[in-house]
Amino acid sequence: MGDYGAAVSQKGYDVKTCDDRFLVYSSVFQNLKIFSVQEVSTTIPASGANTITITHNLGYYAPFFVIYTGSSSVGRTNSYFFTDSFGYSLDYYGSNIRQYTDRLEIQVDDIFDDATTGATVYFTVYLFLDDFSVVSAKSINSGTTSGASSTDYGIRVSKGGYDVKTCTDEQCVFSSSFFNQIIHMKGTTTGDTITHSLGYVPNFYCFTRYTGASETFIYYENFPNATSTILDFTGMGSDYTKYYLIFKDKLN
Amino acid sequence: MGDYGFRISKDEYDVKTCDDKNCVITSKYNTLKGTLTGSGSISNLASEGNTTITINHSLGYIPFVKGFLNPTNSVDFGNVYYQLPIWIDDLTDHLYSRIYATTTQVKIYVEQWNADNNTRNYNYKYFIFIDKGKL
Repeated sequence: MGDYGAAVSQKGYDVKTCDDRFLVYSSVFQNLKIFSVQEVSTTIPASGANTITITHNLGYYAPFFVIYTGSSSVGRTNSYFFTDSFGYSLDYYGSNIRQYTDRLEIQVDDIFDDATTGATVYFTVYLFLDDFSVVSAKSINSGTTSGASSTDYGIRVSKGGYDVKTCTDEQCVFSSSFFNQIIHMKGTTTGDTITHSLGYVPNFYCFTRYTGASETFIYYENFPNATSTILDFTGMGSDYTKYYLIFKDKLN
Repeated sequence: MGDYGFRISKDEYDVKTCDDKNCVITSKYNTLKGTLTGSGSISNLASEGNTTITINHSLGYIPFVKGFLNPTNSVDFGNVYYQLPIWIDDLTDHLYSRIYATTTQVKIYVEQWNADNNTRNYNYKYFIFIDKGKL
């Protein structure tokens, strides 16, 4: 593969020398692309469960994030990443999240959150276009120094329908003013560990699927974790297929 | 909406004809844009204790956030990073942590109970995005 392509660094970093994690994008690395983001809601049932279905028809399992943004009962001041307001995982107690190759389902049980029958509960759901086809580790500069400079320049690209010169940052597809979720590796495994070779602890994301089942799960008893050398699924066993994303971001 | 914009394909894919998912980036799809990241530590959290880390932001809306927690001296969990939320129990250590956000702050809540009655230390890391958590 020839040495060609394009890269944009975060504002303040020299694109020629900075570490990979300070790039906004590079043609060497993939970014997570948001397929859809939407607010959905349902009510807490008197018994049983209500299910929100988000049909995506992607034909494969894709990364997603679910944020509980409160209810008509507990209020909507706080938004919780993958938990209810008490901290129970959205895939553990009172609710379930299941992804299929054509849809995502959020099941809200009668005991969800404060268990107020009839309360309307709200969620923000990010669904991504990317699949889990294997991307092996690639690095240009994976060191821990930055090559920072103070020069204030860069680029921004707006969403469709927004003027790139005047739109807000939130209305940009990307901007060199912000860091991005650059993918170092992705794929699936039934093994216990993935070696990532970054030399530092990376940002990561994963979910799992019992081999042979059609739906995926997010949280489970044996939580995956990361070190400076591996992403570790030990304890989950080979009966589960693990879907993982390892990003360039550095945690430690 | 006119058909304009830009796209960059992965290696070995034709940028003119490949699927969107085989693009490194395309202006057709938004990306998560991080605006603030930081880290810190929690020292000597009591055996049956809890604490809330508060990070201020000035976005004026509830942002999309992610967090990680690293128990550094637990008996059971190892010196590794877990993505939040986490709720794990083992023989000695019992740990629960989550991340949530308001229009002005991001909060990381950590609660533990340890059978050996010793304190614990933690590192944490957070990412705050310009993208909205509550639409």
